[in-house]
Amino acid sequence: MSNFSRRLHAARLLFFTCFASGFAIAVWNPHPRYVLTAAVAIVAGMLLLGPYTAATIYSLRIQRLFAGYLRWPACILLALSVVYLLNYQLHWSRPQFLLAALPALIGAVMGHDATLAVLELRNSPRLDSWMVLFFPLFVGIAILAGYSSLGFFSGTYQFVAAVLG
Amino acid sequence: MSLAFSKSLASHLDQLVLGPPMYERRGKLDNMIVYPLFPSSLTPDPPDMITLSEALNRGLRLNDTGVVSRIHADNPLPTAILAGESEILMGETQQRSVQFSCLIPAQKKSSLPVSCVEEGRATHSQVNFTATDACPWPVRSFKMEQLARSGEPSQYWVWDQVKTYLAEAGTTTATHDIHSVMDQHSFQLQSLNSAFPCQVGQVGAICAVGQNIYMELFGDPEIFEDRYEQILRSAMVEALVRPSDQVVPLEVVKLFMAQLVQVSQNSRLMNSRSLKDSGRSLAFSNQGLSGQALLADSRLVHLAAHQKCLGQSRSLASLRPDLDAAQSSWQDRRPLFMDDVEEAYKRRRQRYTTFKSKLQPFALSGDSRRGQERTEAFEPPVNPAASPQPLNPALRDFFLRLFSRDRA
Repeated sequence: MSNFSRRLHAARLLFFTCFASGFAIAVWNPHPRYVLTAAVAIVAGMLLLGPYTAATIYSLRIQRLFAGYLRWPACILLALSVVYLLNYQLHWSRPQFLLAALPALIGAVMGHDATLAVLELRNSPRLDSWMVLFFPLFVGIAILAGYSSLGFFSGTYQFVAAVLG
Repeated sequence: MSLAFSKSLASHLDQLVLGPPMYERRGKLDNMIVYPLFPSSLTPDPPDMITLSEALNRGLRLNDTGVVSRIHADNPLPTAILAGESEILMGETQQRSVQFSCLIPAQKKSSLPVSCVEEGRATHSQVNFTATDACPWPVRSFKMEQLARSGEPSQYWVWDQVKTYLAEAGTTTATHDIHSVMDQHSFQLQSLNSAFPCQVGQVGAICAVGQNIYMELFGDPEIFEDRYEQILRSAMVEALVRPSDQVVPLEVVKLFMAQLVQVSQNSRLMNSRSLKDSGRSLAFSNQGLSGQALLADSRLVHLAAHQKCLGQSRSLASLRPDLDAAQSSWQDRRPLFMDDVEEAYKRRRQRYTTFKSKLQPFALSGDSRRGQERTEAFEPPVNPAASPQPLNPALRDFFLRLFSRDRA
């Protein structure tokens, strides 16, 4: 377990960035739909869009297109088109669209490279499947935690102010 | 045969140049130095053979026979395939290590001599081997010694050697498979290999690891380049298993080349009925130096050798000034013929890539009589653009570290 925590600790900068992003969203607009959009988008990007891009490119053997750089346009196209389709169905506002598109794109990039790492380790007994599953969820939770902390700090301030007089 | 081989080897080694030493500069691998070997000239024609790992992607079928010491190779390709003694064959059956380097003839079925390197797993007849990786040097050296002494390594002693090596490496594995050592160090093997890049025209490498010298030499730079990653892995895993700051200095490496020729005068010819027409494999061992070579048409195809240099190593820190001086001297006063070698290599590489891209499996025996040319789908050649590439290598490395458990 300590091994698991130690490896998670190595990702503290990423978690802090997610936490700060959640906090910033809460400051900008506290309506929960914005932070939920961002959190779901990055998790979906990591768990679905990135792996799906990698699987498509490498199983169809089309990775040599664009001088071997197809992975970049594929990630961008897949993330943006999925967000665009959802926007078409759900009629998001422009800020919400952007809050879905950017995290989905970042998530897809991370998911693609994470997929390659998993493929590299797939025959190794050292592959930690729990980490593969939980890491994207922790990223989403870090965003929600950042969002929630504004309410917590605000409430604590109100409470302390009331107690002190 | 031995003396003729020794003379041929001596003249081949005479035409080689020891390149600038390479070592890991961040202090993460203080017991390994790699010396590249360059030819003084190159013929215009690239080789007409491919490596085993590439052939597996193009239709070569390697089946387990259910016999521990033999596997069945069915080569549908119109070219010979180099099966190196450094290769471990992996699949849903017992892992095997190729006993000695040999050429699998084009469009023929043959029997490949192997040693089992996974004692705790049963053989599964007819199951395919689907992947290859490098075999760590201690097991290879042991095989070479045994081949030179008795013509075939005793399977019991190979298992014993594998178990000893796994214990020394601190690797726990239920089936005593040698490849788990590679798995254990997979991240370091991948992250450290950039310290030892393959150079244009290079045909061989001498790896000084701790108190050992490991040498791999190929007749053609294209084959060397295709095998380079495995060559490095085989030596580097030994450096990781036995960490130290001691390494064999350059003067001992130079002596090794001379001793190699001397020891090769007493070599033993390997017997394999189905492979004898495509090349001759020899093994030699004496004075703590062991090796094996593959010759085809009196031409060296592959040479691998190992020497244990007890008490002759020095700390890398004390060698650094000499190594850096050798590197800058190479940059300033590189042999003039290297420009020709590089030019020739670029042209050859282009032709070789075209040759490989045109390789398609042909049907064997009954199928060919019916005039059916292809037996299975042709897979395109592997090149850097074709292999999966990360969007950001640092991000991929981060996930490799994140997703891999440290060993207990």
